[in-house]
Amino acid sequence: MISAIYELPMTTGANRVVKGARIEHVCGDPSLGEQKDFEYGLRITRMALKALETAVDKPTLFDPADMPPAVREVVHAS
Amino acid sequence: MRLELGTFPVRDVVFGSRTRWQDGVLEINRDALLEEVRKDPRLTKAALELARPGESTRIWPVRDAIEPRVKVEGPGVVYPGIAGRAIDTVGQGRTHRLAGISVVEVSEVLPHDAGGDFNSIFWDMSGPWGDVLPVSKLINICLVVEADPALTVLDQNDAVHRATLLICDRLAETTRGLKPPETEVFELKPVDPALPKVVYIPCLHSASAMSGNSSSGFFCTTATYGLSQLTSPWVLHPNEIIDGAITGPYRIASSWHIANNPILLELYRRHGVDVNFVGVIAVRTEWTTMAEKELMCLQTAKTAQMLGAQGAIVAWDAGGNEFLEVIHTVRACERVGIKAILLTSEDDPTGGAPTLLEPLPEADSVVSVFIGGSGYPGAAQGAGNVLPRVQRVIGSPTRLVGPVREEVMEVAGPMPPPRYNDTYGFGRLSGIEY
Amino acid sequence: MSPLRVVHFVNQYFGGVGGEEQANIPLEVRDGAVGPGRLLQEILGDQGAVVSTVVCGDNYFNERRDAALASLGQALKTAKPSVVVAGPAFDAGRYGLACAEVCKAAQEMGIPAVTAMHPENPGILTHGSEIIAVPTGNSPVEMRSVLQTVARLALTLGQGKELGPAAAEGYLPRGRKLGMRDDPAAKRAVDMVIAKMKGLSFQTEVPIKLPDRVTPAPRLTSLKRASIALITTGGLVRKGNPDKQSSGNPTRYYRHAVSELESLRGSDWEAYHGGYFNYYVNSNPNYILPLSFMRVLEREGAVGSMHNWIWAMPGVGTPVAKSKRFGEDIARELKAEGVDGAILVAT
Repeated sequence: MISAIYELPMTTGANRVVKGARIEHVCGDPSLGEQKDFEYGLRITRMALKALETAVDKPTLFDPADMPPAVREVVHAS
Repeated sequence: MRLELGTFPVRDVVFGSRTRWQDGVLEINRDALLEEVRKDPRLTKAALELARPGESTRIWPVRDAIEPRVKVEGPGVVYPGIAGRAIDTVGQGRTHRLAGISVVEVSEVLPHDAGGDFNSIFWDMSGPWGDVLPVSKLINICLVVEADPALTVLDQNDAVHRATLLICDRLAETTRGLKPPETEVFELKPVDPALPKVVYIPCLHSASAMSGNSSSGFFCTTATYGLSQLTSPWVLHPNEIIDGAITGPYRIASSWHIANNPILLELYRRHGVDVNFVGVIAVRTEWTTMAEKELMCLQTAKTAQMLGAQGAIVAWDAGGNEFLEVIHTVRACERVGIKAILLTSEDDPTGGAPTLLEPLPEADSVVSVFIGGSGYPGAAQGAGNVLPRVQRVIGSPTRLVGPVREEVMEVAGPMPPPRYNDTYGFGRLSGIEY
Repeated sequence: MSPLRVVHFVNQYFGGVGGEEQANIPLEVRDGAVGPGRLLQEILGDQGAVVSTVVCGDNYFNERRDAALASLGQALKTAKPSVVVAGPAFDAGRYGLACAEVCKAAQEMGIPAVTAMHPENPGILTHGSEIIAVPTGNSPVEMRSVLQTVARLALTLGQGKELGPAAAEGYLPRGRKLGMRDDPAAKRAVDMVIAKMKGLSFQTEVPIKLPDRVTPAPRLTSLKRASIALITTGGLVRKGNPDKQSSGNPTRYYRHAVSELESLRGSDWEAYHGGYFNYYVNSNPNYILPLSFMRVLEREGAVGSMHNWIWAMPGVGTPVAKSKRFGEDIARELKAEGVDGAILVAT
């Protein structure tokens, strides 16, 4: 689950929760400009995949800001 | 702050050759008032009709309803800041009110310009829906008003709401210079320091969440001193609310409900008796990140502490993700030792589901005003939770319904009720276990 | 007033027949009170009379249910009770189930019924929303106090009166519904905050009910070979909303084929959702369904593949029970289609 208001899914039973940017634009941020907006969305999606790969035993929060720097370089596709 | 509130009860309203209040009868010169309203070239329609308690009458669409009040002494104007009104701090001096009536804004103008949010509220003056509404006991002076659809939605909102306020002002003005039959003094006098200190925390849905617009124009939604956008919490003296500093509707809670706020009045009337009412913190809700939501709650709890609060009553006007601000305010208060009560409606319990969107363990003191999923007393007796046909409609005779609003429904006919809520605790409906 | 006629239901053990070895005895009717029924009679005093006792083996009731219920029906027709009491079953599972079924059967015949058992007894887990059950612990040690509550409820029900709210009357809540309280909510709120501040006892009107926990699915061990599906509750629809999906509390969700798409474009998709500002998603629908990003990750080899279908609905205003059904249905479809993992974006 990707959500900007991530405490709610964690309280209500979702076990793998990724921090989204904002309710109106969960996977990205238009105020960053096209390139950085895309990188942000990509980072969030990568984090979602990482969450699927991670063993959890209870609701666990995954923060895209914790992605290691190397994966922030993007093969940009528009 | 000391405020004298003079009440002029209205037991009948008639259209006549003058506009005046005398011995409980409010006479209205309809033509003169409408002539003044129609001076605004933005309006395409303006009419006044009366709806009396007990009638088989349905009023649709109801955008807002306002109790005519006027400041006769002291700074500022009632309902400050909204639709261009003066923003001077209110709550002092003397204010007159006409009780037993409201001016109802009946209009198809959309609440705001982002789409997806439509007028959905109607009132019945009798029958199962009328029975649960406090406003069906009023004589409702309905201003059926429309604005040029070529204008921006913001402009249309401004035009129709100014028209409603104009009618309110003219009606309330009839009491200037008269001695009120009833007077109540509102003052937070120093009281026995042993009395428990309570803060009232109403949480208000904000227009900017839905419309993305942070302008200071008037959207059809609840505003604090005219501002309906997301702002940090407001510290208010309860007198400011009596003078209409929080005004504008959200869904079923109208300006009338807020100004006649039972939670506020209950606390005020028991100030010095069994509580010490320390003030009001209005929280604007529907921020759209976790950090922003939580920030509002933590700041509210800190502010409550600074006011000396030992207890808090938290209420809210909406349904949806803004519940997070509400329940996290309860949590934030509890975590700093302020005993918090939540007044709320409940969601559908089918399947054993929790009835609060985010049920936190700190929400251990809840007053319930409604529960979804089981209709409500009168309407449930009707076929399929539908309200009966009425004889008369004030406003538009048809409405658009359906998932994409393509079906035309007759307003006079059997109609499912709007989503019910009792934000400020007027009634006795509640979710109960059985 | 003549005493209310009560029929009491017990199993083979409380009926004094024997233990587990007698669990197969068929349903039989005895005159008057038997076993704990005698204590029940003592507590009822002259307000109630246990006119007969129905005894049935735990296994017989559960394995020969139809026969047992038929015999029970006969017994009740004969005895004409004003109320039926079953148990207490405490934590005995088969007995609790039987008690619950007895209550339901009596209710269907128009006879009110009350039982008692542990809140986690299968009888409650299965039938709790349909019966009046006094909560108990595990042990018959508390038989007397339990029967006192049972007797009080039995008399109320037998007299045709309505029970008050569950917490006040001492039975397990069956559910919640709309009702009326004595005072307006504003007064109740002020009363409650004063009580809470003073440390006095009060009752919340909404007992805390925490959401269910879900056992996490095991992690994906080979992401590079995994098929991942995207789901959104952000109200994604094709542009113009040709499916006429509603803007909230939908009657169904929709799935869309996306195998040809590299990205979701604002010319082809939009958001129709009554709970947030749809403007940004209308220009870039990937904000609520990260399709463009998944394509990049597919090409990179970070993931096996993105599934060919996406699922979408507007979540706002949807009751929990309906949402649960949607989730279960989608999960079934995902499994059937060989999907290994799913990413759901909520707004």
